[in-house]
Amino acid sequence: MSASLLGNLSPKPYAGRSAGYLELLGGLMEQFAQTQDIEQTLKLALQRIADTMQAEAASLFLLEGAPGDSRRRLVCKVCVGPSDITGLALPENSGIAGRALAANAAQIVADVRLDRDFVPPSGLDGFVVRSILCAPLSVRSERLGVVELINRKPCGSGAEQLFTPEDTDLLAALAAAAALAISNARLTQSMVEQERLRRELELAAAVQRNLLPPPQAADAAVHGLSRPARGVSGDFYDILPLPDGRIVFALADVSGKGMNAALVMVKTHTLFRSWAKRLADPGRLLARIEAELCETMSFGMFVTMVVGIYDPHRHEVRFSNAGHEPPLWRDTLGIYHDFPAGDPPLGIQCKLENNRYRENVLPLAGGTFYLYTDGATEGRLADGTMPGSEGMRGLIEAHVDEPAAQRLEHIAAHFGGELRDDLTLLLIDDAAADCGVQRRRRQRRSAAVLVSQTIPASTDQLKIVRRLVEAAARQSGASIDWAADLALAVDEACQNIIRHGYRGCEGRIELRVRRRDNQLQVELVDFAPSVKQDDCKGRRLDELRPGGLGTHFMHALTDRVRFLLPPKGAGNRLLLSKNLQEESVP
Amino acid sequence: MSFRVTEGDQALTVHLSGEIDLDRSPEARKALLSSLADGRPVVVDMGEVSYIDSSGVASLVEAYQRAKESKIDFSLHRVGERVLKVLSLARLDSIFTIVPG
Repeated sequence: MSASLLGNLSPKPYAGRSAGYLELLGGLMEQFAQTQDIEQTLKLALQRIADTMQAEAASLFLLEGAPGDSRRRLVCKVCVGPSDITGLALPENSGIAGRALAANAAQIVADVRLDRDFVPPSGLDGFVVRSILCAPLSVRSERLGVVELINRKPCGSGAEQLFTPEDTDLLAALAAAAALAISNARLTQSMVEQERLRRELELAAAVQRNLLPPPQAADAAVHGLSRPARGVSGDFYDILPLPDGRIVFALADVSGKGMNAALVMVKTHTLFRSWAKRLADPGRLLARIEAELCETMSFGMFVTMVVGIYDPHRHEVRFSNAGHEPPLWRDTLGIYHDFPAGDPPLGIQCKLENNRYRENVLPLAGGTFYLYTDGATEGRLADGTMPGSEGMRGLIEAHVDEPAAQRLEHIAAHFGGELRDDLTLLLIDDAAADCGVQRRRRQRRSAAVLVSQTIPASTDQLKIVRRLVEAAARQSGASIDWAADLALAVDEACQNIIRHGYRGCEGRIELRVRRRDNQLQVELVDFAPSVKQDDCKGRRLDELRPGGLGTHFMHALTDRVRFLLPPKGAGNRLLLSKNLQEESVP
Repeated sequence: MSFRVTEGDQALTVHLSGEIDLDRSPEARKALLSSLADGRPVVVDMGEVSYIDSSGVASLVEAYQRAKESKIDFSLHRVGERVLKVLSLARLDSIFTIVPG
C-alpha cells in the first residue's frame, strides 16, 4: 500500500513554488498516517523529499539510548545519495545535526567550511559536503532524531544552488509529520509487545489451571479451589485418591508473586505429583520434595506447604505442615482447633529430625478440616478489612450448612473480584464420608455407633478423645456437665492404658461410643499386655498421696465400669456405661 | 507452653490455665514445685483452668504436701465449678485451702 500511494505522487522537480511543497507535504503526511511499516515508509519518504527538494543526499538519524546515558547516539537509519551511511553513529551533541537536536530548531548552513560546529564525515568515498539543511524530529517535548539534506543540486547551468528559508520551513513541517509517524509506530510496537506478553501469560495460566485437579463429585469428602490474583499463580492444591480409598491432598504457597513464583509452583506441584504416587507418607513426602527443591531453588524463595492423607474409613487425617498457615479443624460441636506448623518452609534447607517432617494424626470425627493460603487470611474482604485467622473462622461458620463444594465458592466470593494475592482453599468434610446426610440421620435415630475411631496412645491425643466423647454425649442430648463427667472418666481410662498398659511405648486405642436406649457406652480396646484387674482397684481415699485417683474417677463418674473379654489379638477391653438424665432422653 | 508465675508483695502466684491433663500436668507440677522452693507463700490461680484430671490433681497434692513439710502457706484461688467438682470427687476440697472464684 505504501509503495502505491507514493507512486501516485508524481515526482515534480522542485520549482520553488508553494504548490509543490503542499503536494509533497499532503502526500507524505497521509502516507505517514497510514503506514504499517515505518522503516520502508521513511525510506521512500526520504527519497521523495530529496528528489523534490533537489538534494544530492539525505539522511535520517534517530536517537538511541536513554537520555543522560553517555552512550546515547544519533544513528543513521535511512539514507539516500551516493554513499550509504546507514548505521553511522554520532554523539548526540555532535555536528550540525547535534545542534538542530539541541536547539529543537531547523538549521541551515550555506557553507559548512564557515561553520565551526561542522564535523567532516568520514567514509563518503569522495563525496564532498558543501551545504546542509537539517531539521529536528520531535513530538511534543520528546526528541527522536534529525533529518538532514546535503548539497542542493546544481541547476542546469552548473551554478551552485543554496537551500532557502522556504526549504527550511518545508523540511521542518515534513520532519514533524515523520516524527509523529515514528512515535505512533513505536507506540503500536509496544502495544503489540504487551499484547504478546498478555497472550503468553494467558497460555501459562491455562497450563497451570490444567495442573489443578478437576472439580470433585458433589458428595466427595475433599474439595479445593484456587484463584490467581494475576493470570499465573504461586499457589496450588491437589487431591489424589488412592486405590485403597484414602485420599492424598496438598496445599502450597510459593513466596512472592508473578512469573518466578509461578514457575517454582509448577516445579513443586510436579514433584508432589510424582512422589505422592510412591510415598503416601506425609512427613517423608515433604522431606523428599524439600530435598529436590533445595537443589535448584532460587535464593530467597521458599514454599509453605501442607501435605496429608485422609482415611475416610478411619475418619482421620495424617498431615505434615512445612511453615504453612495452621490448618483448622471444626469439630461437630462447632469448636475450632488449629495446628501450627511443626517445621519451617521448604527450600530453606533445614536440618530435619529423622529426615522427615513431623506428622500430626487427627481424628476428624465427623468434623471438617480446612486449609487455606495467606491470600485468605491476609486478603481483603468486600468492606476492606483483612479477615486474619479469626475472620476465617467467621467466614467458615457463615457457610457451614452449605454443601462442601459450594461452601468454598461462597467463602471465596467474600474476597471480591480483585484479589491482592492468590487465594487457595481446601476442605475435608468427614461427614460426607458416610455416604450422604440421610444415612447419617438414620444412623443417629437408630442410635447405633456415635464414634468409632482409632487413636494413637499418646498424651497429646487425650484432648481429642475428650472432644470426641463430649461431642457424642451432646449429640445424644446430654448437658455440658454430664458430657464433661463422661469425658473425664474416659480420659482417665485412656491414661491408664498409656501409663500402665503401653508404659510409654507406642500403641493405639480403639474408641467406640454407642447409644443404647438411655445409656451411652464407651468401649476402649487396646493391644497392650493384659492388665490384672486387681491392679485397677481404686485407692483408699483417706490415704493422701498423688496418683491412683484415676480409677476412682472412672467409677465415680459413670454408672458401670466393666472389663470384657478382648477381641482376638487385642490386650484389654473396657466398657464404661453412663445413664443419660431423665430430661435428656427423648 | 509453660505456666506464668508472678511475684506479689507477700506471695508467689502460679497461674495455671487451660486443660491440665496428663499432657500438661508435668509442666504444672514443675511450676508449682519450683515456686515452693522460693520459701514464700504460694497462691495457685485456678481461674483460667477449664479442665483438670487425676494427674493434674496429683500435681496439686504433691505441691500441697511439699508446702506442708516446709511450712509454707499454699492455697488455691478462683477455683471454678468444674475444678471444684473434681477436687470434691477426690475428697480434697476439705484439705486444700480453697478460695472460690
